[in-house]
Amino acid sequence: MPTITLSGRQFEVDEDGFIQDPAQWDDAVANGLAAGEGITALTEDHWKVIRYLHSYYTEFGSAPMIRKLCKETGFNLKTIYQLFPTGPAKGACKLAGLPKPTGCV
Amino acid sequence: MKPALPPVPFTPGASAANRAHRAGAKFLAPLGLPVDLPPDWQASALRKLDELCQQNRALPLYLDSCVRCGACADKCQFFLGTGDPKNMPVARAGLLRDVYRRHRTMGGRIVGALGGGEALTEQKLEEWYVYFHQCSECRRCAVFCPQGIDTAEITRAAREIMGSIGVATKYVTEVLKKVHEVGNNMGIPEAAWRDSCEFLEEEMKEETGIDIRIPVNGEGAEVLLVPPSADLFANPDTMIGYAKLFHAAGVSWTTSTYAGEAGNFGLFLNHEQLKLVNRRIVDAARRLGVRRIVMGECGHAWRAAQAFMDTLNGPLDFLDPPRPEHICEFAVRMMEERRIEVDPAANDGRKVTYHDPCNLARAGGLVEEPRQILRAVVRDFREMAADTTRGRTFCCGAGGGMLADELMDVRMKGAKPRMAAFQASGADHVATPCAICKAQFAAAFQYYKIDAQVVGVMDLLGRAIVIRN
Amino acid sequence: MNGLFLATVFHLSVAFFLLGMGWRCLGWLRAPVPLKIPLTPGPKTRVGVAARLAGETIAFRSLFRAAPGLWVVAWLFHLSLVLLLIGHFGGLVAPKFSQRLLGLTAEQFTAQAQLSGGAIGILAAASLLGLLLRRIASKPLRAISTAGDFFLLLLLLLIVATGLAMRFAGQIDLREARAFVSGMRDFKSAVPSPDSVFTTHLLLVCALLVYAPFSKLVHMAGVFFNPALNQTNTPRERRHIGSGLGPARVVFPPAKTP
Repeated sequence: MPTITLSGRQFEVDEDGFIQDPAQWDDAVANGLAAGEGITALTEDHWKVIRYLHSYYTEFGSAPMIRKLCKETGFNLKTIYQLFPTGPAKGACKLAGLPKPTGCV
Repeated sequence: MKPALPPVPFTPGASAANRAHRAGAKFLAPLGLPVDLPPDWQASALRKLDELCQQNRALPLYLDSCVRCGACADKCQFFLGTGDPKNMPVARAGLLRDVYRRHRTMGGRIVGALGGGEALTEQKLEEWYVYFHQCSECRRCAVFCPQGIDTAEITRAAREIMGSIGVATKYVTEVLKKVHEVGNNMGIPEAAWRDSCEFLEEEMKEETGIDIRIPVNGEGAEVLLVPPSADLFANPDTMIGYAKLFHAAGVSWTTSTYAGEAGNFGLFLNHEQLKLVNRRIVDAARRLGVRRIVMGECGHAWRAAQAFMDTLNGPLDFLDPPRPEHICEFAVRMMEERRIEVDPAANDGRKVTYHDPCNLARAGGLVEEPRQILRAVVRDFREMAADTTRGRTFCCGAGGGMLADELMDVRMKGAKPRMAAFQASGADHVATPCAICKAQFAAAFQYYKIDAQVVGVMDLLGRAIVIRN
Repeated sequence: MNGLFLATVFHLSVAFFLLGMGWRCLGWLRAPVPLKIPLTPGPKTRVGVAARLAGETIAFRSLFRAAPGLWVVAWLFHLSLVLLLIGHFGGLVAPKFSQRLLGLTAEQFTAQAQLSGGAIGILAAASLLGLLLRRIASKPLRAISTAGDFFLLLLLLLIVATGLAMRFAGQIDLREARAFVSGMRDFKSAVPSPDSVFTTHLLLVCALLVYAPFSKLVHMAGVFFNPALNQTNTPRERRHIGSGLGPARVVFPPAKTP
């Protein structure tokens, strides 16, 4: 299993760079992974999406429906793609410490 | 049809490097597959080939009777898109045929390489892994083959052989693991499933002012609807379409968190998984006491349900009638019985064409019903060129367990013929009842810079359906 | 060459061909068809299936849609093979019957045989050359062709060439040929072969007959056994019992009640 080092800590990640243990996640992880997803600096808007995703995952054990993410954060899908160029299921979930949503998406 | 995109030159090895992530122990072990290549992997694989040849007539028949006429070559979207000769269906099948000829035919055994065969080496296995995961099992080649040779059967066999020695893709095995552990491909647990359904109920309430339910695990309902779980993540309008349809028709229904997945990735790995995943739907239907199983918008789900369910996990005599039904068939029936009304004006301004998911058209026989619905709910409905629709439809490019990010290169190249036909149609919406197609179209539209939207058939029906309290 | 020897070789080859093809068919038949896999949209009745198979085997319907150019060559080649088979049988094995059937005099019958045999032979040679050139000239075709594909085309070309040589180079005496064939047919006389070209022609045919069951020539029978074509598209109307595959092992703990 590959690992990455973010601010001095080692994390196991999958082939696509998603951290394997969501419990290890903290703000530093999000900051550390941002550049790899084409984001120069995390703004308040980014954090709003990241925090919502992480708290939803903590409560329900999966990523929320994309439409619910939009509604709860007040951002439409286009804005989310502007914030996270690789999209809500990739960049946003990765920064929020979620496992990669896979299936027919 | 004039291809809007230039043809790709014939380039050996063009797509040899585009390989899917290999599954590790984490995903192989739960499926009962060896986690490492066994020391006697060659013998093991050949035994499996032997076994499959004895269990499935199509396999030895297809390997024996291909005349290599090449009629299939330019029919495969992956050859058209990549130009890699090993993506010609005849050559793809050749990867297995070579080994079969060497090890299983009398000529091959006696004269070895002179018999036209090749040994199963590590290099051969690598080629199998790459090119049998660049086939979406779409069966388009079979339609044009004068022998009717169906490369999907060969790909399925090759993947089953590889699986038996612990060689499989992470994408397919991870999804199967989630199906068994959580109940659906996306891995949406019951709490999140319920939360998502409630969220959509609120959305519909806001839109219509009416309470339209999306029931979860409701016992004694008339219908068990089995959607692809992607509908509860990425395709909310499809989900809303189902709900409005059942509501308007006055038919009681439910979803199941045990069988929250229409798709059957067993079709992309091995027979055992095909059967086990399929059984979850039958078991859920029995336990919930429903009278009908209705399959949602998923292409290969329909193949697994309509063609295989009764064989694998039947008899289905607890259902009335004793067979699964497709959501498009159900909708057409409701329209014909005048139990729902639609107003196509709701979809005005959309130029809509229809993409036949390969498994619906070529393995499920479902070609007219979605069109009947679309003609009723859309005023500007147009077909793509006839050699790219119905039985001759192009695969979107990511079926058959290929919808993995790391296969994006071959996926986008494989989408090319479909994109060309779409552009030629002049439409700005493509409706397609398949979650894989939807995800692939969205990516391909972006890649080919086509300003268009992909929607489900139910999305458009949901907008047009007249809802009364 | 000794007629009895040639007759023996020929009869053994025919027997080998029939047994070999039968053995290959039995091999396929022994394996069950576990699932319904008809190509759809497809026929729902047995009559419909028969029509589908007839369309494929008589008109090469799928090939026509796939590659019209190849269709012309391939269809003419197969047609010429069938006509040559009928012609050889009618002209050599049962000449009296054929002559009566056509209502011709002996002279007319021979002239007709020379004419049609020659014409169809040329057609066969031309279409075979077309198939061979196609394999050589096209890059994708070269990539998928095996040694066996070329061997078969060359063997067929040699058979046709020796046949044409008898017709056009050294005009063969049809009466001699008929006498030899009827001797061979009845297995009692030892009429010597008319000439060496005839002998070569016959031995090449024997080689083809013996090679056929090991080669892709099994496609002549295989197409009828193909479940994608010969199954009715009725998985929901009638339960397909998929024998042959063992029960799936359950690798997961028993499922929770939903």
